[in-house]
Amino acid sequence: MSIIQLQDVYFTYNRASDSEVRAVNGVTLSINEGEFVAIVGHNGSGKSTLAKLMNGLITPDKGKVTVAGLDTANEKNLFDIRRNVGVVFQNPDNQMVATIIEDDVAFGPENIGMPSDQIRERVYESLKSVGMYDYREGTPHRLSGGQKQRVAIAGVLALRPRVMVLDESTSMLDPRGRADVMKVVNDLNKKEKMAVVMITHFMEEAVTADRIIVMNEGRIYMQGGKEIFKRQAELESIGLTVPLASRVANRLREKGVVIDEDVTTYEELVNKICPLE
Amino acid sequence: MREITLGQYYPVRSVIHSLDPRAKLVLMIAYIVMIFFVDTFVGYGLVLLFLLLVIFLSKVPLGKVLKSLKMILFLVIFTVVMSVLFYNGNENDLLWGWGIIRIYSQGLINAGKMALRLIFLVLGPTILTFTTTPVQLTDALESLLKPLSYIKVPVHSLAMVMSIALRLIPTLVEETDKIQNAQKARCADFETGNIFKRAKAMLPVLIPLFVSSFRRADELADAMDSRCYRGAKGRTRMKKMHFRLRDAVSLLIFALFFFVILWLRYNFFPAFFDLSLLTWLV
Ligand SMILES: Nc1ncnc2c1ncn2[C@@H]1O[C@H](COP(=O)(O)OP(=O)(O)OP(=O)(O)O)[C@@H](O)[C@H]1O
Ligand SMILES: [Mg+2]
Repeated sequence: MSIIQLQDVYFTYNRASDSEVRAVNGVTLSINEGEFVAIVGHNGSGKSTLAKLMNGLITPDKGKVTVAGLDTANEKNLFDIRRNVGVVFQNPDNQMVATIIEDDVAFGPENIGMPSDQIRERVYESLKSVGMYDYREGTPHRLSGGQKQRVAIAGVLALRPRVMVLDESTSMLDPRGRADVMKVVNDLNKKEKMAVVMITHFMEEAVTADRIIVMNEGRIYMQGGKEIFKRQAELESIGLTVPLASRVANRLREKGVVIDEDVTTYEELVNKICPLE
Repeated sequence: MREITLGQYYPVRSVIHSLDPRAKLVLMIAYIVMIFFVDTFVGYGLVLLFLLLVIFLSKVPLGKVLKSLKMILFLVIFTVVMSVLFYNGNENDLLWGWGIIRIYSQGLINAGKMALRLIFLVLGPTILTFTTTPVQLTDALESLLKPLSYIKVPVHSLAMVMSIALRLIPTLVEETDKIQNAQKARCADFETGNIFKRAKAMLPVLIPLFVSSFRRADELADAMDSRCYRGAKGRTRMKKMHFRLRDAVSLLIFALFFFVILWLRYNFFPAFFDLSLLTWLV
């Protein structure tokens, strides 16, 4: 069952002016219930534009975007669409509304008019699932980037969306913060069956996804499972770096070593190479 | 990094902290009005006792409260000096005179009262901000001004703007620091030269700050929209403000106190208690 559907979507910034930018150029894709989709592409390939199209922050010039059957072009649907599709953005500092962590997480549920005791329940639950419960009465200002981003995720979770879109939400974090956030997101996908759309330009972050969509110049350039990492030359031609383990495996294949499974991580590589001889 | 505190909230649990912020805001305004009715030292003594009691109950160290008076120290001294120098009194009231400088005892008394009035005026809001967070204050303001929304004043939006501004201040201060350091690394000089030179040196800091603030505002608006924000419509709050018995009691106690102050001033019901007995003290 698909939740988000994009049908031949086009989007242009600053339309009918000198600085016209075609950001999305005829994209058709759907995100299914419980799925983990990674969208990769280098700078300016239209990933953020896709994210904004998915919850109706912008509406397509041509084509149609629907969320749970609701058209994003109809303003009356936006409220329900945004309850279904939560978006976590890149810069955690620009997503916080309140000066106290629990107040910030409460912002979403407050907007949908929940009774106060229920809001508190949800806020605590969301903070627990991102491991930030103990910080609830503190100020976000003192947290590390990874912690701030987990609070931002909790803020989206508190609305219990069916899809969570993360637009390069780990790109400003250190490796530790990135790992923490990735773990939280993977858990939500596996345990809560929440669909995840992970937008990134790190191929490494895409390896755990069920499906990888590669964007280039506003179009879907390639899509599929891990097997796409074998198409190293094509990916590199549009400015993407294939994970190191896949590169090694690809090189070995060129040299005639038989590695038939897809190798994307260091462990997989070790497990593949060591039994050979 | 610079430590940035928003306002000066002192986070402890106390009766004063737990009062409804709306009650505290109303009390603070009433207190300021009351100060203008005090005109005797007895009155100021009573207000001082009252404030000491409140500070004690709030568990905020007295030293911290007094420290916040530092910023008006100059103003107080200036006011006292001016009003002593320019007081035109009766010649047989003259304490000391030299050339055109003449100091009258009534002038000294007036100056003292004026200084006390200033100090007490500042102490009210000070205690309020020590015991109430900025968010509580904006919430209280929104709630108290709600009637105005019936005449189409955008009370909710104004309160939201205020609370977002409060939220963004530390971020912007941090960013200013960052940009300033980046400029310093390129040999920009912010510390020397006259005020115009320094202001000019700030320009390359302010422009990027301005640009990035707009970008920030844009992103924040997207984030708020994404979290189903649609203004006051249908919005509830997690932390509801509750007007409880303790708030009613506080208001009542304050009303009584205000009454005593007015009584001191206007001496109504003189038959009941002759206040002139008290005024000889001064
Ligand atoms: N608000 C805007 N106004 C004008 N042009 C824009 C705007 N936002 C993005 N663009 C342009 O649209 C194109 C696609 O941008 P988009 O932000 O979707 O790319 P992206 O894949 O998210 O890139 P990045 O990796 O840098 O985040 C780019 O050429 C960009 O310059
Ligand atoms: Mg982007």
